[in-house]
Amino acid sequence: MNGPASLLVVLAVFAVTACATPRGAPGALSDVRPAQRPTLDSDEAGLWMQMDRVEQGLRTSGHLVTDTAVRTYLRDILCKLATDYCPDIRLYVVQTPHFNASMAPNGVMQVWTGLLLRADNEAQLAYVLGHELGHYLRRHSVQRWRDVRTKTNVTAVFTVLTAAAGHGYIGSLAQLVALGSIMQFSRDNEREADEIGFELMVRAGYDPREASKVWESLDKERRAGKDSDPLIFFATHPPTDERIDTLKELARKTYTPDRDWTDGRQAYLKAVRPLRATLLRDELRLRDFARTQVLLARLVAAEPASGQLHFFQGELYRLRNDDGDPARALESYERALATGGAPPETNRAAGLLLMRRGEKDRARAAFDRYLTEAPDAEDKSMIHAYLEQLR
Amino acid sequence: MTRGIRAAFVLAVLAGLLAGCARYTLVEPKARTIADLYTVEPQTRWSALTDGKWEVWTVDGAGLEAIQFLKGLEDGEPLFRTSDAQKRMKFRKPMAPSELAELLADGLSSIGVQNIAVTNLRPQKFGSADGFRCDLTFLTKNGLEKQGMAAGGTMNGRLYLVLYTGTKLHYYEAHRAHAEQIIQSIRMK
Repeated sequence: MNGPASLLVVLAVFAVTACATPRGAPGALSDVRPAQRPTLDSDEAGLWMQMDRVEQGLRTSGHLVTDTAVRTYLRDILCKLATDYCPDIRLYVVQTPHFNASMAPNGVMQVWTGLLLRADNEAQLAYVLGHELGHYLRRHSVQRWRDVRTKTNVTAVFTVLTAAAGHGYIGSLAQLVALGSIMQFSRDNEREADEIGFELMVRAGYDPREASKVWESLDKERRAGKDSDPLIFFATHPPTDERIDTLKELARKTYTPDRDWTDGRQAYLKAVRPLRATLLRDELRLRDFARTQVLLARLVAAEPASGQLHFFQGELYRLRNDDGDPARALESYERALATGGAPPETNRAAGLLLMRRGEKDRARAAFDRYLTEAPDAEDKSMIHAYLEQLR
Repeated sequence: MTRGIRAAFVLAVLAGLLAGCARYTLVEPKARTIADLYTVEPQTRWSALTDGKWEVWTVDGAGLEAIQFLKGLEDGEPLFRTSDAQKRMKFRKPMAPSELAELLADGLSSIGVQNIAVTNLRPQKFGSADGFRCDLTFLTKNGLEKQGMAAGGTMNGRLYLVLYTGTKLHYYEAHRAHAEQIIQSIRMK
């Protein structure tokens, strides 16, 4: 089964088996239909209008990733999952080093680059996108909106929405967290989106065992991090043992070795690798080193022969600069250079550390290698000045 | 504009309303001493405001363009006193210019600036002292594109910087020549 029929069947199955709110119960909402827009005199239309304003800010934001290849790649995954709902979803890839994906009721989906960096493969991306699609298809935002409206001050809710809209939705993290707390879905909504996301990835042929791994990896980072910079996704998507266990159980029931499952690892690497240096630099700027160390250890374990990843491990140590870190950084740079594929900056970073330690010959050699590998480097005149000092 | 400076401006306005006067002072186009270390000689009028270790001059408003003078950062201090200053890079006396440029990028990141790119790092005298220059591009936390240029150096164990930033659209270019002239006019006392 494929195409629109498959998605409608997924929704139908959930309508009778897995819904937290029985369809047809008082206050329950029907699923959104392809190309559906709310009637103009409805409260839902008001919510859409607010979100349309948010989208206007987003569309012109300088934070959007302009790389066509990665945007097309994500769009293709999305359409594979969303089938005939695909034209209703506008996907925005936002360059922000936090793990996050979100879905607004008007069809705006945001994928933040922190998610791209952290997914192990296409199957995990598909699960997260499918989860967000689940919120959209089931109109969870509208459910939540009506629920909040009956419980809290409507003006306050609209103020936050409007403020977020005025700041392009991706304004300050504080605004996002505030918005997240209002748009936070209930546990039942989350459970339902998890199951829809799981079902959609399975129907698209992705290995079902990958879904729970998203939460397991995030949980390890959360435990390591100081949480001074909250992983925003956690605020609305707590990686609880319950949801991990549920997804594992679903995978156990679904996975059969005879089917040709894919994790899409190679396609994922092809799309994300060109951006990875930028994403890792953004990640290091958060200076949540304990969390980043967990992330890098996972990436290196998956790609031990990546000089680029060893270089960024060295950068973490150099920037953290705790006792023993300069020596650890140098070891990582040496490993990066020995592994191959290390960026030219590896030699510059090593040169700076060696210069600080007074190892003039080794520093000079490192800077020379840097200039040989990057003769047009932006900072070449500075490096020449260092070489003069080291004579 | 930076979080710290914007906060300072809000405070300045509030203080002005309460006291009946603003904290801005007029910078006349004549020699002016910065941090008791060096002089600059602006060729046009600026409005000045002090925010901790930073002296901020602007013509059209600090959110649009500003030239900022860091008046001597001590060893172990972060560039900006933000709530997450504890985990931010600290200035260290032996830092090479490449590391000082990193310190600048990290400091800007701590006040909400994103997608920072430091380019064209090069050696250049800061007055008569050894120093560096670099160019910057970045986005404010609301996504506004800005450009910048910085000059700096470590003197007597302290870091001194002059940072000029402005919106990529119009304001950076509008006052860039004046800012460049100020940097070129630096003379050690």
